[in-house]
Amino acid sequence: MSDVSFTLIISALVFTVGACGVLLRRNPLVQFMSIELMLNAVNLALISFDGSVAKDKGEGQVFVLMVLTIAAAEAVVGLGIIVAIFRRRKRIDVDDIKVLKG
Amino acid sequence: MEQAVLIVAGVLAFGSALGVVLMPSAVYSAMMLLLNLLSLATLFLMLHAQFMFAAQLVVYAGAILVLFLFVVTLLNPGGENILRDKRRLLQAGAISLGLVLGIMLVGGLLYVFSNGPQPTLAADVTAPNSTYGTVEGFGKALFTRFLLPFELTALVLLVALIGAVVFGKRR
Amino acid sequence: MPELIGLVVLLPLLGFLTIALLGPKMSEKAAATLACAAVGLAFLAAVGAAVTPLVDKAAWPKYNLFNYDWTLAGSWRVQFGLVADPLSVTMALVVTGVGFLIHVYSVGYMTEQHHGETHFEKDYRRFFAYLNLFVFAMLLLVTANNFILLLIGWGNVGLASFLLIGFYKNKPSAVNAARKAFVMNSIGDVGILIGSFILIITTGQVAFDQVFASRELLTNSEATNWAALFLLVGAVAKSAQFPLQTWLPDAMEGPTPVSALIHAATMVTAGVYLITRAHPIFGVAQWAVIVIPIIGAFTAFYAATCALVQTDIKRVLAYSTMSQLGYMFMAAGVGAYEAAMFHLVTHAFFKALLFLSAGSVIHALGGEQNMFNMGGLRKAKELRVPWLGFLLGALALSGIPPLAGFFSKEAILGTFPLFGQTTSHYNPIGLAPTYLAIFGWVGIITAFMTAFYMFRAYMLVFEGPQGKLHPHNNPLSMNFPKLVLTLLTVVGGFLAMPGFWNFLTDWFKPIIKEVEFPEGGGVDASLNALKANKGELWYRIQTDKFEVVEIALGVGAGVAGIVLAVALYSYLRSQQAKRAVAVAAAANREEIIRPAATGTTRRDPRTQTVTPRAMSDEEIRDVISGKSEKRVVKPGSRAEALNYSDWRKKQNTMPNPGKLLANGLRAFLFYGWGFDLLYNLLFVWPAKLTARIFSRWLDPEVERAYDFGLGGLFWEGSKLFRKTQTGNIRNYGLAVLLGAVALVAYVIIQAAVR
Repeated sequence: MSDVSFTLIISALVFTVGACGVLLRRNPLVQFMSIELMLNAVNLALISFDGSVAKDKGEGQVFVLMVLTIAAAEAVVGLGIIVAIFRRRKRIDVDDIKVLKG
Repeated sequence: MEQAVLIVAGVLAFGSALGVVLMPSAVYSAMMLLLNLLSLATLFLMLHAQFMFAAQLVVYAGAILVLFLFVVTLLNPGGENILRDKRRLLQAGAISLGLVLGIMLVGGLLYVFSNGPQPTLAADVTAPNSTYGTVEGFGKALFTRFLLPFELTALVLLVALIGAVVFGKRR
Repeated sequence: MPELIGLVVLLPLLGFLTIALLGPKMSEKAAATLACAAVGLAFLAAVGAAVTPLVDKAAWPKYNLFNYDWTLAGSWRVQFGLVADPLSVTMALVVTGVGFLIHVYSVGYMTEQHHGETHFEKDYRRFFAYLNLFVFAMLLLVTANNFILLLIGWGNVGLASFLLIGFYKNKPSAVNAARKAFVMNSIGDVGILIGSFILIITTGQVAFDQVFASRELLTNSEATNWAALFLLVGAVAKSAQFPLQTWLPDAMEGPTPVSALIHAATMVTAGVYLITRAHPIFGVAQWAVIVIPIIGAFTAFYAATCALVQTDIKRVLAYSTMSQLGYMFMAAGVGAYEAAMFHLVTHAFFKALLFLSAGSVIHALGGEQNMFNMGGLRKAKELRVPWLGFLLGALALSGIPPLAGFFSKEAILGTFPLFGQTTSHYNPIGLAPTYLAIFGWVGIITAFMTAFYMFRAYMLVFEGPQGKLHPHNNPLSMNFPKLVLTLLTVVGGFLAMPGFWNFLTDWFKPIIKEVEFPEGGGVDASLNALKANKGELWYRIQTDKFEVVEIALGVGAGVAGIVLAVALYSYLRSQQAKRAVAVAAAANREEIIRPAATGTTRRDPRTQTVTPRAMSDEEIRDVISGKSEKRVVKPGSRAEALNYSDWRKKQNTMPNPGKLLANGLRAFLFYGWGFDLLYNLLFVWPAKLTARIFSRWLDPEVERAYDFGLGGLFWEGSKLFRKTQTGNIRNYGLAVLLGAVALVAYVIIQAAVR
């Protein structure tokens, strides 16, 4: 098995674990960490493809930088929301938050 | 040697990802996430993406994870046992769907790899004096063809910053 | 330095943004100073940018500056940038130069002097912000190097015009005029949009130089013709040409500096600029280009006839602008771009001068715009500068040598062979010289009418008995721009002297020359001729023996118009003065001649002269307090008797058919040949009628059906579907994961099947 195929499989596994993590945990902080896992898995896949099959080498890495930026922005806003919710409720459990129930 | 590093880093990445999800306390999860980020960074280096390796360490491990840890210690949420979840149906669905997704992805990849040429790093990537993945090569791409998108990310960050300030304000 | 063109565009934008964002924090004076400084510095930068093409004429493709990527989609690449070739720089100089003078003029115009104190008009800062926005948009329009950026400037110019026409936002007529102008201009915007799309589809390019150099223009003549036609729609709308001309007279509801800047000197010339800029497209379009001179000639004639009977001084100037733009279209339509641009520049000078002078008069008279309420203003000490400006402007517009208008008008008239002789002029349509002669004669008739209506206005405003005069000095900030423009009106024509030297031809030559048509295009005869003298779309104004005759005819028409107007209106004015003296004398003597019949209504609606007996108490109070314009005649005086018997006589006699016809014709011309009515009939009323029918009969039915049919369906359906909205994000996440799994499964199945 070549190095790129190995990293691709690792990427698929980490992505799956992250996706399950978002659903299994009730702590929004850990959910966020799981989302970071998924983003990282995608980054790994992007870099793997960039170095091997991509036509214009290097462009995948630029894309990774964009993902990185979005991840940073998302973490900042998301954690801000969590802190704001915590201030009101003194407890963080996503199952408690269901104001949007139809 | 390189093969060994690759496999160790890969296994660590998978294991630490499981750890993030399964650890009862958020602090442990964050530690596992750190391990995961480090092993992924190692994989980046193995793939000759040196700049991304550095960026991964600085941005993720250095900035985002510290932010996570800060919030975790600020809020100090109690431990959480995922085995005692009231939503059994949802839990079962999540696990089974995750299994299906993992099997499909990994199985699909393995099928493709076993039935055709496996992707390998290109020759111009592995060449000793290649600029691939270095600051030079990456910077050239970023500041010529992708100048406008790059500058727009600054706007995204600014908006996020303003958003964080608004959320953080005491009302 | 051609790079200065970037600064030219940027400075007014900065001025606009600063005033718009910091407006309330600034004093009125600071805002005005900033706005003037932004445009003044932009003018200096434009002068700097003009130096290089002056020195190195052949290098204009090099002046495609600041090219940045806008869109990258596969192999399609849109860049945006500015161009600093002679054409753009000329337009930039006119826009910033005249714009600066009008900014300075506005500083004084938008204030009132009362007992040595300066009162700023309401929304003074907003006005200057809009002015700067307009200058920015116009500069973007004329310096864009591709169709998309041009369109952005084009639309913004329309927006600025809308904002400024409707500046007095509490005045319904101004708001309606603004809306009308915007709608008319939007039709043009859509035209340009479609034209650009056709060009992009046909050539795959957006930048001017690439579009014009592409061979598809020649091979796909159908597309080129349609593109030219749609671009023409835009040009026609912005330049207020037939059939989209009705907005310009109404646009005079805006403040006078706005009329001078936008609706006379700069914005309305955008159409001429577009035709000149896109001349390779119009040059190869076979049947679309013939429309341009026809539209131009018709509009020139049409607007001149309308101007003959207007009573509002600004509307006279508005129709005159329309007419002069018709001249430019006529010239541009037959390939005389140099003549069109020449007239554009000189027209900007003297039309701005005329507007500013008229504005000073209006300002001095406290907002009075009806020429029949003016008169004798030549003698007013406060209005010397406006008088001189108006007189010189009117002379220039009439084409009297050696003022600017003479040279440029002759350049246009000289384009057309008046006697059907063959010429070496570029003739893209292949029209017979006889047909071209028609345009020339229309131009000469229009020149006669132009001179007549301008001096009609002059006589009504400045000569004859003196009307009421608000004691109001024009401040220096209002007089200085007029003096500069007066100077330009006097010397501006010497840019090009047919037969002696022609600076403008040399100046514009490189732009026209640069357009090279690829070998082997269409097969039309005129295209081959075009290729034969490759790029020689240019020609010199001819100096054959008919030239003298043409000049004599053009100037003769102007002089004849002036003489006729002066003679007619001095006679009418003297008659009017005599009658006024007689009436006043009679009223003073208070001859008591009681009319036979009393007690009936004694109102003559024509003269608005009323005797107090026939008025209600409120009306009398209004007259005394000055709210009403009605003239009061002492009861029982001779004046009343004369007036009353006059009126009775008019009532009893049958209307004179000749007079009826004349009045009808006057009304016809006064309302612009009834185009507003026609458009109302064709578009507005059918739309309103349809809307009424729908709202009266169709809507309630649909509503009921909606309420009980669809509404019920959704009401019941929502009860079912709201169960899925648990509010728990983990449920939503599960759904997302399910979707992701389904997608992956779909991909795998697709691959397996293949």
